[in-house]
Amino acid sequence: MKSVIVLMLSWGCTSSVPSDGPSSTDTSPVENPSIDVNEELLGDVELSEDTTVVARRRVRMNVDQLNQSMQQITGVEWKSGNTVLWDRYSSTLGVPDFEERTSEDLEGSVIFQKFLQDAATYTCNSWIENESEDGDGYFYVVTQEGQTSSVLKAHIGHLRYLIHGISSGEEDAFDESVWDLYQLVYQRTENSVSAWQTVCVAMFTHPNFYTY
Amino acid sequence: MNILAMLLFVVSMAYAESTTDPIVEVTSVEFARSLSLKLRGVVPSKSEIEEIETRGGLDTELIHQWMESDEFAEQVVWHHKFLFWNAPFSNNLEQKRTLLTSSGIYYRRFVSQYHRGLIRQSCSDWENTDVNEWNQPQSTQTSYVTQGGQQVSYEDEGWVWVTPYWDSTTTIKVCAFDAQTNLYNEAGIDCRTAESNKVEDCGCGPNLQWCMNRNTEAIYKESMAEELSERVRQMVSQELPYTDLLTENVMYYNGPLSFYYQHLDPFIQKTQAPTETFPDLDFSDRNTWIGVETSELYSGALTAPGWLLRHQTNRGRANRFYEAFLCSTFVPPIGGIVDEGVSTPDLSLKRGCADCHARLEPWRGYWGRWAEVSSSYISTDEFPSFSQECADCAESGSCNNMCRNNYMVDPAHVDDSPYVGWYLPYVYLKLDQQYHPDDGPKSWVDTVSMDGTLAQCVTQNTASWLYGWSPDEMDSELLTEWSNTFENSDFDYEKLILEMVMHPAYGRVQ
Repeated sequence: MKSVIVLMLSWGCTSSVPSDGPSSTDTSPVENPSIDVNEELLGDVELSEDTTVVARRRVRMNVDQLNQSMQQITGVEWKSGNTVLWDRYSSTLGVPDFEERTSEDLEGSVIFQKFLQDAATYTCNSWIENESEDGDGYFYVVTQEGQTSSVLKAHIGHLRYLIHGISSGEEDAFDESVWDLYQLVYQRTENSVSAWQTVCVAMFTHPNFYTY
Repeated sequence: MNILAMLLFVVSMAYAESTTDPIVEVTSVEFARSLSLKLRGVVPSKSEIEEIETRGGLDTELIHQWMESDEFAEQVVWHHKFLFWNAPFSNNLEQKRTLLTSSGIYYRRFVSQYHRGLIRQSCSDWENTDVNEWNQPQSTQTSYVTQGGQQVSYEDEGWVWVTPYWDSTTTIKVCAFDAQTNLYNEAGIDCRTAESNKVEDCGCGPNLQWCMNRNTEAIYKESMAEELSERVRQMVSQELPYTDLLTENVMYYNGPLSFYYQHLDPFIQKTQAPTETFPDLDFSDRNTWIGVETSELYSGALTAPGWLLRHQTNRGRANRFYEAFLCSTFVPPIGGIVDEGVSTPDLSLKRGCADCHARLEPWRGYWGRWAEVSSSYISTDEFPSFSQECADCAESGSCNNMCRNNYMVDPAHVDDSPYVGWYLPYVYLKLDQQYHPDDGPKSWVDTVSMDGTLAQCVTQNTASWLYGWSPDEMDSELLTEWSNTFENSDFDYEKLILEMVMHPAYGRVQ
């Protein structure tokens, strides 16, 4: 659909008070200054794309999907004692109770980001702890010292496949930036577990995980 | 002109950013991930992804497998909670049957005046061993309590040990008057009926089965709300037509509901057992559900206790159905509703109100035989649609409470006159609408099933769920296509879902 945009510039609009304007106590009516409008045709722009191509909307996971999916991937549930923290914060996270709230908040709000970060930190720490001690553990090899960069990069790619469901391409920019992040944390901490925790949290807090 | 060019750039960029996220084709793994989240509420496992890749993508067989899972039923249940708004009843069921605790002793706070002669007073903490086989105290003591600065006395019967029905592994202290188990009192009143609510020598019965504590009351109310979800599960797992959800004459019982309707319902005005027989289930069995056929008067979820108690007025019930299952909303006129002063009491004619109520009033009539703030059916035996007795007393001005509270006996406007002597839910219903209360909501569902509006709305709701479309983003061509398929398949809901997710549009995301 094409549409013509006409910009109407109101040169008469000004934020400065005229020197001969009314004083603060003068309430008598004042004639408005005249306004010049420039109606110049600037050309056509595209307002919407081809509507014949129909697609679903990308949406954010709801709280239950986040809980189930993080467990599916890591085997860890975000808990404090016996309390599932997704349940505890469900009201804050906009989960409807169908009494006072009947719609679901699926915005990627700051509050959501904060709790997702908390959940990811807890989940990643437990996951890596569980999976780095046993020789068969998912993080065992990559948390051992002296691994080559190709082994570590391959693990980043696999982690991404597991968490985002996306296969890495050749010289993948996303993988490269995650590799930079890994190196940065490792250089500062000299601790591969810390580096993998950071990478893991980054993966879970990325929209590629929580939107679909 | 530089300013103009910059403004044009900003406008077009802002527009582009806000509305033209690119449409992208997703990979087979992304498609599977998205579908798994929608249909099962979880991303595929590692082995599932590998299997999908081995197969070269997600095929119909695997989608069918997913749609046969319990997880799929739960996703459909969740989607329907946004339609039913099924939340537990927010009011008390019956305070006179509620056991509270004071210093670890259970007592019925709101009947204490009939037992102890003092309102809201518990027995004091001493074990009364002088009780008969029905826990009736044979001796009591006089105790004192300070109220409003004054010392007042009450009859104190002490407590006895009782094993409550909600936990057969424990015994609790219950004030002896409340722990009485006799079936009749000395005056012959049946202690198993509401008539005994204010009677001194009737109690909570064997194992307290005629009473509830706050926890068990919450379980009953949650079970009533959950029963709506069970209807959805049954529709999915039994592959029933979608319309059955709104019309079938079946009540689903779990353990708590079976117990409630057998033992507690007789005391409670707000509910009424939907059947005469109940499945043999233990109180603790919350997750087993058994369907029992009701009379033809019932209309699926729309007359289920969970729906009737959640939507407490007949207008509220009609309005929710209109919004959730016909995808329409009553919108007040621009500028708000103008009060026209004294005019007709018939809202379907009254200016300012008629815009909505001309449609709403006939529809609320469908629930006319279902009591408000209650889940009880009111039969024509109890309240005939027209009462000659009330019509006569309206003329003579000597009506009793029954007529005054339930029939039109006090016409204040010429529009009231045709309805004198009519049962109130029938009042203002026009000639062609007066069958609505007798036919019930099933009749409305039948109408909208036949004219296609139900199918269209169910399709729109499902597209909103699966495609994330808001009402103004709906693709009308696709909706019509899917809606026709749904209608022609005898409202096969799984077929509708499959049709939607197998459409090429689902493989694109924006």
